[in-house]
Amino acid sequence: MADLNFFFNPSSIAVIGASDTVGSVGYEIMKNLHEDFPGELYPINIKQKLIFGKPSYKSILDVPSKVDMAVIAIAAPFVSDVLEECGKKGVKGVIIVSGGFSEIGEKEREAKLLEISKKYGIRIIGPNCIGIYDNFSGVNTIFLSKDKISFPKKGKISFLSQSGAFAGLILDWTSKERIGISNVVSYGNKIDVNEADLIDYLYYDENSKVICLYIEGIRRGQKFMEAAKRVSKKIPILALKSGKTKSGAKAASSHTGSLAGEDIIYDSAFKQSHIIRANNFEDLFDMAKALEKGIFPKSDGVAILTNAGGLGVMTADALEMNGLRLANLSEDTIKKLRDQFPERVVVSNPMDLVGDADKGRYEVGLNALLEDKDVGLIIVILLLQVPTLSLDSVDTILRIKKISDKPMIILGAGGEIITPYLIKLEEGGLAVYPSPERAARAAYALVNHAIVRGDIHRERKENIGVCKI
Amino acid sequence: MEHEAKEIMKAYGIKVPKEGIATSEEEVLKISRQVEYPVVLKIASPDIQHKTDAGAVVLNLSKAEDILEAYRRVLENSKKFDPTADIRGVIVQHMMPKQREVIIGVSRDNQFGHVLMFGLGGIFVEVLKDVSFRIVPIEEEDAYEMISEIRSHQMLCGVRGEKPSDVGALVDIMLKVSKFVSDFPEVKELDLNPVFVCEKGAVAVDALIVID
Repeated sequence: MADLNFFFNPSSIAVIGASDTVGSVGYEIMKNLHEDFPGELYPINIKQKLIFGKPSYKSILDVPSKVDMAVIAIAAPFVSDVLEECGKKGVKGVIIVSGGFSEIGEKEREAKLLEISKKYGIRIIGPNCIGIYDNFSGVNTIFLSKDKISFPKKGKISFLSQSGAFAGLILDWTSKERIGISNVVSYGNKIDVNEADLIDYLYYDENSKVICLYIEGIRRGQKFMEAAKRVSKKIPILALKSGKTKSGAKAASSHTGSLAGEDIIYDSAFKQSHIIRANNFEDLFDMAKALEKGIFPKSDGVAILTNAGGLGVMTADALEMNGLRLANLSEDTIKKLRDQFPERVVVSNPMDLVGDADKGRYEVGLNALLEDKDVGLIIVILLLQVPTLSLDSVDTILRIKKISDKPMIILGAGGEIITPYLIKLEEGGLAVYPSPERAARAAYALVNHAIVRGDIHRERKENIGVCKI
Repeated sequence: MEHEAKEIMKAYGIKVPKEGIATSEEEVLKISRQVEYPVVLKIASPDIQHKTDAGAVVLNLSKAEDILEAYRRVLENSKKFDPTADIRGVIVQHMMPKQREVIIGVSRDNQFGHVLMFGLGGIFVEVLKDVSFRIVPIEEEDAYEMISEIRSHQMLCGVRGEKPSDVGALVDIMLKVSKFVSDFPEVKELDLNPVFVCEKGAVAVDALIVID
């Protein structure tokens, strides 16, 4: 298995094409690294002597110390020459940001890069990419200015994107959504390092607990599946694959050939390698932020606890649409709660604590559900707007969350007054969703990964079991 | 070609109907007796793949005179359909009683290699496109999943008082097909269509293999 650690945690970086001309790619990369990267930084520029107050070198070969990783951001025709120099210098990994290769038909120019990479044993990310953003090491080759983009908080979600522009957008969007990110990699034309290599690397990355993929097309499918199968048992992998509607019709002489569209094949490959497929990018991160917590159900039964009957029913519907099962509460649980709750409380699943529920009623309900064996995870619906539910009820929820060994998902939404309390729940380590459908997808992802981990035993579909002779 | 394709499937342990290729009127009668009545006659030609369209299939024959007449008709229609077709003879196949039909097939993808398909035959595949896929090689678990994944899978469990179909036999065929195409990367496409699935066992009634 290839070690790619020098890309994510280098002790020194050279920026080839560094510049102090505001707005240039070489400027933005230098600026971001200068501000965030604590290691040695070497600007390389054939003309300038000083960049960001650091001595600039004409060639990487002039740098007096060793260089772990280099970023190349110069015009495409000159990339192979500087890559050769990186090879001679003993650089371990190079991120080639420059475009102008196979994506515009320059296949020979790209082949030359691969040849040099093999000759020196140098690993390449790109070309035609925006490289790496690592929230822990400070490596940031994304040439977007902090004047126009906010970077997300630290978290455990890794995002690998075939599209550089989309990777940039996700960084900004996750910052707004308060989603924590460990690292983002845009790998562009992936002449050397591809999805499979990165997935393999992330298996050992202590900071990443979920892998999200944005895929347009995979070149070596079997290798990708092998890597994903290996990793997904430990780290959940989610994928968003575009091109769903692309016609798969091919000239085929068999029935099978005419039905084997591209999308259905990806779908199968994802299933076989235990990758959970997302419907859109919101869905991708909805699932990721539940998985990131690292607590998985031990039963596939889902319990719903609510103070809003309608939302409870909608959530039950949404769970069923995702193929999930409502937990069957034990007689013990029901009896215990029946004794403690007023008559108007519906003691079943969904459990409707009704509109006058207070934090005490939530506490009793939650504690009982945590003890019930068939309950694998709990969706807690919090309509914080009602008079009896004080805003400090979030503290009660968070206190129970701390001792809970079952995943809890919060369904809550609100305006300006409620939002700070929802944020408090998030900061206390809970995933919060604004709609039943989105909360149900989070539950789906948790159950799915628990099955892959082997925590939940999946039985073959009953019907087929009956048919089996 | 159909007959060879079935010989290969047979070699991999997949059940196929009793059949032979006749090149004369004497042979067609002799083989008909050997495979047992009723029989089906189909043209054996690498150039004619969609035999029904060519009028080159005649079903349910039990009498000698009908068989001879059908033999002549199949040859004549085939020559009319494609005068340059390479005709190797006429397949004489034992006609099995109608059963639940499924299709098991393989296609090859540039990125993932061989993919296996499963679906119920007839309108389920042709109109509803109710099929499932897995990348080859598959494991037993994958095969069961493929079957349970199609919307119409309950048809196999016996509806309206029918006996349930032998799902295990289908899984067995799927695993054998997966093994076959893994052994032979040059297989571009494969169709076992239909496969008859009975209360006990399953038989590949027609087979098509396309090689690079």
